[in-house]
Amino acid sequence: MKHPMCPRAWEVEAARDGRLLGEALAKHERHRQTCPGCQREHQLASRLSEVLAGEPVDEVALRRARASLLERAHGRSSVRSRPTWSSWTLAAAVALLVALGFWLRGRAVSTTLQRPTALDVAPADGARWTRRDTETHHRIDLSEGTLELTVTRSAGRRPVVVQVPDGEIEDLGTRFRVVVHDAKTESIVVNEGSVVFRRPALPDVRLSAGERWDAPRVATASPTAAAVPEAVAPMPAPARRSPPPSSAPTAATPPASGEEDVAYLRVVGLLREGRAEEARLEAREYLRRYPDGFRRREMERIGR
Amino acid sequence: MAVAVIRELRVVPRADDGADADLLSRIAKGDLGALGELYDRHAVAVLRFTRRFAPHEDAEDATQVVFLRAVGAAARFRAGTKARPWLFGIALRVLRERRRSLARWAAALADLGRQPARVVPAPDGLERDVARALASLSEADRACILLAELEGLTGSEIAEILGVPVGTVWRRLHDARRRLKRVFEEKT
Repeated sequence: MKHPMCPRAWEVEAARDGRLLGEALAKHERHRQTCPGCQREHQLASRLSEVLAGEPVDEVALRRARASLLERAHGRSSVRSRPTWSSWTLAAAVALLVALGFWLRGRAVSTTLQRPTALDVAPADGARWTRRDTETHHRIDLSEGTLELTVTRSAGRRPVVVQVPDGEIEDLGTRFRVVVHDAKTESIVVNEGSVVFRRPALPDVRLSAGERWDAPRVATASPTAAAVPEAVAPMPAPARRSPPPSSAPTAATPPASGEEDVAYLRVVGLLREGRAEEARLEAREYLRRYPDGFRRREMERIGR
Repeated sequence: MAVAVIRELRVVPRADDGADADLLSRIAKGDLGALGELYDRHAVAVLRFTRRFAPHEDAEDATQVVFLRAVGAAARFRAGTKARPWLFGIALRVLRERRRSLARWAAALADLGRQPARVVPAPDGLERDVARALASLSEADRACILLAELEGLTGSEIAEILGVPVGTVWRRLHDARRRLKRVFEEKT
């Protein structure tokens, strides 16, 4: 319904901008209570504020940017010192090296082309992904499938961020694998270096070489099936010096390890629910099935 | 449930000006922990502002640069003034510099017969139309309306950031609102 324009409609804007004060403001507010035209103006202005806010800010990206900001600021502050004769000498030496670099580059372009890339991505399982490089970081968007990433730090200091449907993973090291399935991160396996997994409203998960993270799953083996919590677990195979990316998935995660993890997590889930007796039985079952399992000692303690 | 949690996280804590002045004083002395705190207080507001001027990732980069500049300028921050308008002032300068350098880059690429890809993913419906209308405003008008409507800054605070008389701010606000309201009226 179209309302007639009120001659005092300008007051709505003036009130919002703080141009109406005291009695003038009070008069306007009284008038607005009874004037459909001014009410409509007021509603439009309020709606405008809401729409201008746009989509919610990505809290996870902000957390990453915070870490990057502090790193950059630290880098700046640590080099900000009074120049001395030695620093001038160093600067001259650097300038000389740069000049030498340019000269060599002109002579042997092929040599520079052989430098390692900063980021090597090996997709698997029909991975759907894209890559974008910005001024501050390399960004991979992974919506489905598996990616094996190898990062060569010497070739570039920009961090590598893998955007997954439910968060993001920032590479702090050199080699890791990410599996996404059905719009959820299923697992992260770190072979070298470390990564941090950030998700909205959840604490960061930091994984180091030899560790893996698995998404919480629903255990189906027992009738008392319960959602098991997520966990960071050491990988069963020694991973510090594992084979090249193409063969890494099978080497890092033998099929049995997943089942062992589920069995362990089932025990943890029962304990958290206060079902101590069932947890004890499940722990014994774990020991029966995996007598040399990685959580043997813990399971022995619970199973007593 | 998840949506509710994320919306909760969007709530920006109201900045305490005294605490901000203290943080900036500590930053000026080289305390980077204080920089983290300043970021926590104002990053959402600064990012919300910058992304109305630049594509998504450029806005994130620009926001970082704003806080890095704040480190260098912290010693010049006047006690008794508000930190958030001061950060918006830095943000506007950063955005202008980036736009100029982008323009140079675009011109260089155009010489080579290529155009830079600067496509911002467009949202749907009203939000898209408002985003278009906002993008069609001059930088100064856009800054005025965002600072007033989004951040709740007063006319005199905006005038100080932009370095113009307060009357100019009110006129710009009026023009910007008129154009944006037209979008609403067409939609409703």
